[in-house]
Amino acid sequence: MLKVRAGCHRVMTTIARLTLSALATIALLLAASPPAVAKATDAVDACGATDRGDLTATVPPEVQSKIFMTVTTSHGPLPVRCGNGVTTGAVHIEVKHRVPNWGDALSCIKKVIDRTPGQPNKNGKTNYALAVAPGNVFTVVRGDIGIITAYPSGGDLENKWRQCSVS
Amino acid sequence: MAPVLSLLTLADEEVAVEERHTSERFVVDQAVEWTPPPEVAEQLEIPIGHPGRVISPAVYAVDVAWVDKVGEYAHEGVFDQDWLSPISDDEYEARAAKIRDGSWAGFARH
Repeated sequence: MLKVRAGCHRVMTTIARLTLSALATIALLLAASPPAVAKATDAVDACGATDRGDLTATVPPEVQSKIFMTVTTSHGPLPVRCGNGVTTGAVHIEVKHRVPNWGDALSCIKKVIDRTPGQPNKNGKTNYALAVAPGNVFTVVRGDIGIITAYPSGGDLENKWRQCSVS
Repeated sequence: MAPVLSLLTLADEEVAVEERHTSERFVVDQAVEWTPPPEVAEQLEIPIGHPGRVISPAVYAVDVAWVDKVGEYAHEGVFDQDWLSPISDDEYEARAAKIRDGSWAGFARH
């Protein structure tokens, strides 16, 4: 009987140690994980837009053509207008492609345009694509009105904007 | 066994998401129709089912030349490939003829 009790105690102690060890590992991993990166709201705020929460935003018609920011590139200054929140402009880029902050976004857009020749199409737009890292290909589209869109490939978008900016 | 299966499923989903974000579904000059989700459709003045041809096919930046009453209409923005569906050249021509013969005023009138 004593032997059985001792055996049970040993097993329970081992389970308890393993559980504590697992919990400690999980806590360590959580502590080591980078904090979640927030999405910017500058364009939505500055353009008086309403984020609809479905990767689109409503932008008042009277501000859609207003310039939100300008990117200084080797092709000259290119405006990023507020746009319509769905297919073009700063609000669309911010809401759909999860810009973490516009400092990184402007730096990244400039880098892609300056480092690639661009492919003009017959609709008057030019597509730029730059592989900034494995699994992170950036696309920028420029039109007559300025920057139409910009986005990284794949998931984890906020960190890919940052990666593009510092690369 | 169950956790292993869950991990495998998660990995498959991640691969699918990655492919969805990197694979171009269309080629230049392909005939397409406008099939967006409701939240996009209600914000743009392109009729559902409207035909067009792909000008450039980047995943989230498909540029489309839409059939207009006369000639083509180049929308100033670009479209997510998920908002478009392929149609045959015959279907494109049939829809274009119907639009040009019909009473629709065209994009310039909107």
